[in-house]
Amino acid sequence: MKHISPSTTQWAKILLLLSFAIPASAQDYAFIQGQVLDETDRPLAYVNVQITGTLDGAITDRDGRFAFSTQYTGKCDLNASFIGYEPAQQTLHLTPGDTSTVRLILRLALIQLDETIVTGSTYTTGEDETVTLSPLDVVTTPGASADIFRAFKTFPGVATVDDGAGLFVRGGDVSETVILLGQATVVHPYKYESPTGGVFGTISPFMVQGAVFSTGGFPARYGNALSSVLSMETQNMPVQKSYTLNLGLAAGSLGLNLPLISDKLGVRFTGNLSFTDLLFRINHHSSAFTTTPRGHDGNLNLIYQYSPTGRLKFFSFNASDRLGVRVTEPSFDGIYQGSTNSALHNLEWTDIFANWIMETSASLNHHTARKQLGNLDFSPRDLTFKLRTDIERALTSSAFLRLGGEIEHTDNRLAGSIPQGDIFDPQAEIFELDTSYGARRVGTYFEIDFEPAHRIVVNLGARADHHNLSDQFAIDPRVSARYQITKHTDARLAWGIYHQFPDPSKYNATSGNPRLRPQRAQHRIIGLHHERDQFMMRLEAYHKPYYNLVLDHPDLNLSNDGKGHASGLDLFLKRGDFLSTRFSGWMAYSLLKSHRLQVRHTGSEMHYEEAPSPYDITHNLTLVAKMRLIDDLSGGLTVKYATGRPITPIVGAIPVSDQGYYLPIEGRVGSERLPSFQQVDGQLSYLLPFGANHQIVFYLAINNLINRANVLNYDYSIDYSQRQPRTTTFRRSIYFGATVTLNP
Amino acid sequence: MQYILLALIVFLIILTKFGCSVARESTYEQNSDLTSVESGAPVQPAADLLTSGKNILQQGINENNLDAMYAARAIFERALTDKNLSAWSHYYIALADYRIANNLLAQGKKNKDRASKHLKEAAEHLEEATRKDITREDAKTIAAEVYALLSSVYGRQISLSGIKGMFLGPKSGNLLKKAEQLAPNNPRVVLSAAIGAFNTPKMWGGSKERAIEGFQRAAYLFAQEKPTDPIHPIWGHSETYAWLGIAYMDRDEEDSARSAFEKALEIDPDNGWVKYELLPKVTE
Repeated sequence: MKHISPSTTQWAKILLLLSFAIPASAQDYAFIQGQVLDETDRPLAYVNVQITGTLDGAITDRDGRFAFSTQYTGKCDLNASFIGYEPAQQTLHLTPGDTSTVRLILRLALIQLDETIVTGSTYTTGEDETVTLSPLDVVTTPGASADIFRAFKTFPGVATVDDGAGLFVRGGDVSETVILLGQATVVHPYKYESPTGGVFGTISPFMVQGAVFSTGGFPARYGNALSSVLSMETQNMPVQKSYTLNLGLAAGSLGLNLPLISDKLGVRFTGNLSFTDLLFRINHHSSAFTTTPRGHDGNLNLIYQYSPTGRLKFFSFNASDRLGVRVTEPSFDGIYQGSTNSALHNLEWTDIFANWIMETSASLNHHTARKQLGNLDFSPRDLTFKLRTDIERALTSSAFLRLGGEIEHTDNRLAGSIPQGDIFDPQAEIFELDTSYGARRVGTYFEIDFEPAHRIVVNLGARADHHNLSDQFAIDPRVSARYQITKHTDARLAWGIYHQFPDPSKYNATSGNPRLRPQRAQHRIIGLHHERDQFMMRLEAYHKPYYNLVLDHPDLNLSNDGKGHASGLDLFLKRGDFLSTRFSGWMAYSLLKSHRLQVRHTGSEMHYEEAPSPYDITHNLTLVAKMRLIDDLSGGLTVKYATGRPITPIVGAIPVSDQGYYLPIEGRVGSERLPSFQQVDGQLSYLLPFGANHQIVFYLAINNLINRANVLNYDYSIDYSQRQPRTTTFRRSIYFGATVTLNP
Repeated sequence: MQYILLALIVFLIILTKFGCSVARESTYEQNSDLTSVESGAPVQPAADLLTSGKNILQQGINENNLDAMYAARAIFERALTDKNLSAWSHYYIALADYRIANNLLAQGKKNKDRASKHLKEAAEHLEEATRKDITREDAKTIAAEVYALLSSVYGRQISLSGIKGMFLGPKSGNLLKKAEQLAPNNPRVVLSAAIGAFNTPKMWGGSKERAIEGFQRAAYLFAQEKPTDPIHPIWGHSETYAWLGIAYMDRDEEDSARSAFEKALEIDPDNGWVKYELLPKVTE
């Protein structure tokens, strides 16, 4: 490439000379000459300088100079434009025979207004230039089991507390992360729900066009979330027909993408069946389950583009699962049976009216479950209806306004028998619960994106929410700013108030408190982001005080007396991407210190203690590496290390009745830690294309390669004198399968 | 060579100057604040800008001269003012961006960010062109050329960031289908399809065999092509043989590759890409 034509340097001179050489004899001509420079006063070559609305103009030379003559006279605008720069204008008054001399400065077009760029602590998936995680990254991340939530767990700020999918963000618990699909709230986002979230997320990565995952400092449009938001968008119109069939050791699925009327009407469908029996048998893990986890789900996505700007999208999702597992509680050794059914239906309407982009949706979540263990037989049910509208428009070329509102109504029914004092023996005392009530939250917000100075972008907003049960208003002002230090490096700041109303089940009058107020957190974040070619680095520090957290109360059942704080540091390094570089991978490290006021039970008494929060994971390190080995064979490894979470040891017990039950006496809250969590997962995949456009992907995953029995908690004997570690279900285990994609 | 260029530029600038005075009678919208002086001259100044820019761009490509490509791009930008021709102007800006991006990428990885910006810009201009309601007689030709180039731009974006294949791959395929329906025998449409097939990973439906068949068919169609309007694109003949050679190199068929490159130079002896970069690889 050393060959450069001798004319290279002469081009500009030629152009300039010729511009001057134009016959200027006529008195009718006005002359314009000048120079175009960048912000640092360096001349810019090959800039198009032109009188707006005409063809008259010139191109700048190597020294940024230009000159031309024009027959236009009077008031006119001179415009200079060059790729990568913001165009500059200047108004001139042209008189025939006169020469106007102009100096124009072009500024680098560094900043594009876009939420993911303004906001710190945000990671995205999708097709944009700026994404951090593509759907392909999700399915090729070892240990993620093709699950979006599990893949986001490999990112900084998310703590590993078990091998499930629960998103524990920056010292918060799993309920502080709100999951959105389009404008709908996914009320029950996990499959096989547990106090730590669940085993998988309910949303398949291939249903999702893109996602924004924010671990803090998110803008005012997101309400009722204390720590974090995962917002996913469903797929758009399919452009070509395709069929997918996947068969693995524990799941089978079928997918169809059909453009029914090209660019007008399309449908996407997937159905999944999961059956873990074979998986457990092959890996010799079946002993604990009496009914191995199984379930089925289906989703349908209809897209109707009724005009170039208008679109209706209907999305419907339905999932059922059940399992039976042997549980060793101090008071009872028996079988836990659980089953759930969740559905989500969402109709979304997008169009443009008089420069306003409008998005409106109506959604319905429906969830029923049954939980049985000893004397526990509990059936919660909830129905959530949500209506949401967002509108946005450009105010100027560098300012955007966004407004919106939402109403979310939940009907809850809690029915069944619940053991008193956590004694699960079928003969032990229970209380009957049968209560239903509604809860309604109404929220509204505004946001403005603007550039107060060159290189600075600010997102300023506020939201207000009202909850009918607590009858309280929550006002959340929020601001985040980005300063572009260099072309590839920027600094980000964010501050805001965040409110979250307690889970509706906590408002019941029997075991909860109908007068609970919203929980509150403040986010303060400072970060540095650098991105160049295939390399990305992000470092962030944060401090997050919590107020009004829900806490057990001896008389009121629950109160808002809880408080605490979380501070930490998140580091993210990423290199390459799965398809275009042979090697790709990322590293996420989080340092966290999180304290909360907590309850300590000593027999029938309870006290309050300031202690490390239950998910205070001091060090959390995740390494993900992927490599194309030969041709179409790829392999990857995920390595995870996390400090063991704090637990409260039980130091004694007092008998409560002559039937032989005991109430535990807890030691200091969070005074012990579980052993560290360590896991290595590996994955191999091989792509085999066939026919014109079809392919099969074979995959083989080995999870927990080092065969470590990670401790999740301790199980105690009936008198609490002995304890046994309870470990993760999966030791070293193998999973394999194949996916066929046909593109007829 | 310099003299030819010089002559070309003189020609171009003179045309531009004439253009100013005529443009007021032309179809483009005019700044109402301006008073103008009447004069008689050519009728389509924006068209002349496009034709001249086209020649400068081709020279730039042949000489491997980025400066010329940028100069051509600036000329095309100026022609945007003429609403009647704006679809073609967008097309040529995009073509310049596409060429600049390819040139930058040929110089090494360090230019990747800059090249991506040009590709993004190219895609935006072409997408803009597809949104134009074209009433010109050659509306079909414009649409086919725009779709074909956009498909190539997407293809190049995929080759830079494989992840994009998931989204852009199907889009790119769809565009080609549309282009093929509009102009099944347009050699650039056939060439774009073949380049797409060559660059797309197998995972997203690429095929080297189909690519070679496509390059051969494109070569045949280029030999038959007779341009009817000077603003219509004519690029791609020599390039088709360059790509055919690259595809043969990929199959380790050095002799076939060499004869393809020689054929490329036969058609366009100034093709710098072939002369200085590709041919030396097989003659070493």
